[in-house]
Amino acid sequence: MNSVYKQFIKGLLLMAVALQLMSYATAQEQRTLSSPLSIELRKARATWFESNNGAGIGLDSLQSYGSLEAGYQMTDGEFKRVQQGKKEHQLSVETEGGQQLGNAYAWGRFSYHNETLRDTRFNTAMLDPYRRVPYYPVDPNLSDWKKQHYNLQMKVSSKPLCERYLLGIQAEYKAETGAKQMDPRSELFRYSIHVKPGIAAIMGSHRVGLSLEYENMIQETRGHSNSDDQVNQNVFVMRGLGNHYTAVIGGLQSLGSFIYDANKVGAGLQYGWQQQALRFFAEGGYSFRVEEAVRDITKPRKEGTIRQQELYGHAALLHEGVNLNRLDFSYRSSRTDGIEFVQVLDNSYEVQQWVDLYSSVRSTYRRDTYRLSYDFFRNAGQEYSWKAGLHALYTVTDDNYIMPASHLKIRDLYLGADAKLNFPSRGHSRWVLGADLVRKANQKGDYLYGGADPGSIVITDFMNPEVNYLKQDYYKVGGSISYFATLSSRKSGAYLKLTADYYKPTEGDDVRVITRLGMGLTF
Amino acid sequence: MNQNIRRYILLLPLMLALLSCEQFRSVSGTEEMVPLSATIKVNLNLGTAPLPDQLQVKLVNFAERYELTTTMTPNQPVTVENIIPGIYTITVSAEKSEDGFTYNYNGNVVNVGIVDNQETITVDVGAAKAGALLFKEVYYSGSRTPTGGTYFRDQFYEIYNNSDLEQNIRGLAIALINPQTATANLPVWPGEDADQYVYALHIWQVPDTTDFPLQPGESIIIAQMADDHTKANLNPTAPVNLLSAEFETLVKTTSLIQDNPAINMKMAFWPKPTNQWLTSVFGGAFVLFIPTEPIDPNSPTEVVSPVGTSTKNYRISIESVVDALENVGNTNQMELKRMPAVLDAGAATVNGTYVAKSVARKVKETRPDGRVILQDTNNSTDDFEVMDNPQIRRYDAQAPSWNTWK
Repeated sequence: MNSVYKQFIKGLLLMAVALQLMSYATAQEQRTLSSPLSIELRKARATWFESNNGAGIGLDSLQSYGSLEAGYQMTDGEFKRVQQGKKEHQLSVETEGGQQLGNAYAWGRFSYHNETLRDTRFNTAMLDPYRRVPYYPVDPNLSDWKKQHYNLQMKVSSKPLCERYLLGIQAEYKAETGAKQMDPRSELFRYSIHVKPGIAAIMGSHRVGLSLEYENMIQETRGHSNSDDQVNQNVFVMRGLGNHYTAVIGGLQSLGSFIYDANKVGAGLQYGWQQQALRFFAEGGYSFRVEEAVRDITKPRKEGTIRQQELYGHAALLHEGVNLNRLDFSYRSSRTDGIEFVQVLDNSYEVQQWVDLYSSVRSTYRRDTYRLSYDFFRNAGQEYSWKAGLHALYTVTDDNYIMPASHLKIRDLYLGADAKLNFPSRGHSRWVLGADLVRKANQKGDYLYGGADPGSIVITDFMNPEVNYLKQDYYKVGGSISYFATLSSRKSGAYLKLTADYYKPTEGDDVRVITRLGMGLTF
Repeated sequence: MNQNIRRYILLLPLMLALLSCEQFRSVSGTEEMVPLSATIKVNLNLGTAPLPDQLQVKLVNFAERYELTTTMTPNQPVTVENIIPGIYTITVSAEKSEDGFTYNYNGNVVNVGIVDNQETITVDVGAAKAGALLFKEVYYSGSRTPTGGTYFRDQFYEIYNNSDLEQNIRGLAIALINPQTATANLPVWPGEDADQYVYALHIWQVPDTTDFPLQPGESIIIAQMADDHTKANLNPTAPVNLLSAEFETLVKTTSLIQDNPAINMKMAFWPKPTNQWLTSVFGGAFVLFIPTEPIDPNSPTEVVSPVGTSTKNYRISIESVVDALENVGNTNQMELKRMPAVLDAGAATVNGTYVAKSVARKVKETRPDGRVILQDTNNSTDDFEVMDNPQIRRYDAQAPSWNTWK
């Protein structure tokens, strides 16, 4: 299986690299300029690009473009979730390109992130503790983490077949690795592949599409260890909403490593309409995902399984004349069941395996998000002279552990505004200044732990501070400045960009600052 | 080669789809948990003991750390509600004093799965006069040295005369039960009557060449090494000085180990001796017993091996056991019991290794003369508590008169 995966991934990687090279070569022959603003504007005009239907990308008139960016990001401050680092450093390289191939279109993206997180707590063995799997071990020791993420994406749309049908496919492959740097230690690997075949049809001014999706994910821990083998480390295995059991890493009875295996299938429908300056796009879909968490792969014992259903919808209305107006509404709803098992060991000498006696849904997790946004681009040609945007986001979290009864209920409203100004400078260079402001207003925040050990450090030092963070109101003020200059060909350019985001809760003195310096090429 | 790759790539979606179908099928139809109810009945086998007035019923799900208690009369089943589906240890117990004797009533079923509603579970309950010789305190966890190293030579086992009569401990044996640590991988023992025995990895015995009377309220200390462990060359941060111990399990293999004033116990069964009688710092399971026949380490009938292994073990009849104590590594391992429930329905733990803590039996009552009577319900979970400072002869237990070096 692995070798098949590798061949497939090698193919994807080659395709992505080829796309970058082709877009660069073709860009030299075309007259259009590729700059960060022009790429941003092309994506703002696009409606199928962010959809799940790769076939529709051929309907978006993205034109050929390419970009390559290297960046360094620093995050610092105590206003954070418990499992985040007090300081985080991230080095990244990203490249992206789209290529018109006659009447077909291909797009690819590759990114690499190298992260160091300082002084995290309560995460023993998860590359991403926020990916909504409740079954994982935690420990209270301060520890650094080192992680690397590779992400490869592609979208391809065929030329219209029978002058009506477009076939397409999207694929994404992620490979991530990470290691915890203090006892108890763990080394992790995560792989996922996400494939979405699709078809779109052109019927006059109407476009309709159908997409399917399949995802497979595996996360494995290559064993836990302690550098100091004289001291065993206490860990807590989470089961949702603070419910947990205790275990030890080290010694004869050390906690076995966890393996996660997920599969997801889904389908979506898209509809587009275009009449002169007005365009409308809508998408809706459904997905079903199951992820199993198993301990000790040589004698597997089920820690739990999640069963997740997601319903999503998105509608966009665009009007483009001299200016571009874009109104978006999106909705995403997920319902996750946490299934736990009662297992007994079949102790027969020849068998020795854990056998299911009973399973039931012990916890449920509901997430709903509603987002409304409006963006205005002034003088939208190849680039724009300025843009302004408004958005509102409403999120609902409603998690329940059935018995012993525990719950977490959070409702948040985010209101934001952003603006960006394009200042042409000498020659064909330009300065771009941006600013954004977000206000998070918590509407409801309630956590009740009804489990066996309310005095546990898991509750006092992990769950309670985590919920306090989630309940906080805050302001986020962001700013960016970038300088772009065309290269000799005047079709491509180089840029330098500095961004900073400042998070300040309405209560308390903690803050969080994220700064990023990026430099790149567009072609 | 290329054709093979193409074939694999074409087969890949099919394989993945089949795998996901299997995974999806495994969770389809799984519904929300609903609490269950179960009926508990008792089957009384009291011999000459009087009928108890009321029985305590306790259901413990160690994995969930969830406990339900109720009471019942001996002839009337009781229905317990609000049960989380899972693996339970169900204990039925009572105590009654009559004609100058205290009777303990105990029965339990261990690791019974309650996953269907309205199950009926029958617990066999027996009765016995309260035990005379008991494990009073056991210090198995070891301690840390000043430099953070590990130290385990200070382990001790205190045995107490909890009765109103003199007891003679001549020939008393202490055995470590297989497996050394709590595990789900329990050995499988041969023979139809395998469940009538416990199986010892090691047995040490009080010399059976002379009498060792033990008066009510007196205790003996069995030390791994009956030395002052706080000495500079041992472990200045050790919690105990065991120079006054009555017995030690001497294995003189290093210059650190000396023959102390304590009486040397007899190494009755230990097929593979090591440098010292170190029992697991994760918590071993121990029995005290008085052998009806001399222990023969080469006995063709009493020395047995688990199915599929050649490890030598000495089988001990459950009937000959005087007291038993099971220790486990942490509270989550309570369901990994290896001691038969008839001997110990629960388990005790200090919840760590080298933490310099012990488990000690709780005091049931203190007599007017100051002598304590310790709790003995044959359930170590209830009978024992964790002590932050291991201590010999806690609660003013006395050393026997023949201990002249105390």
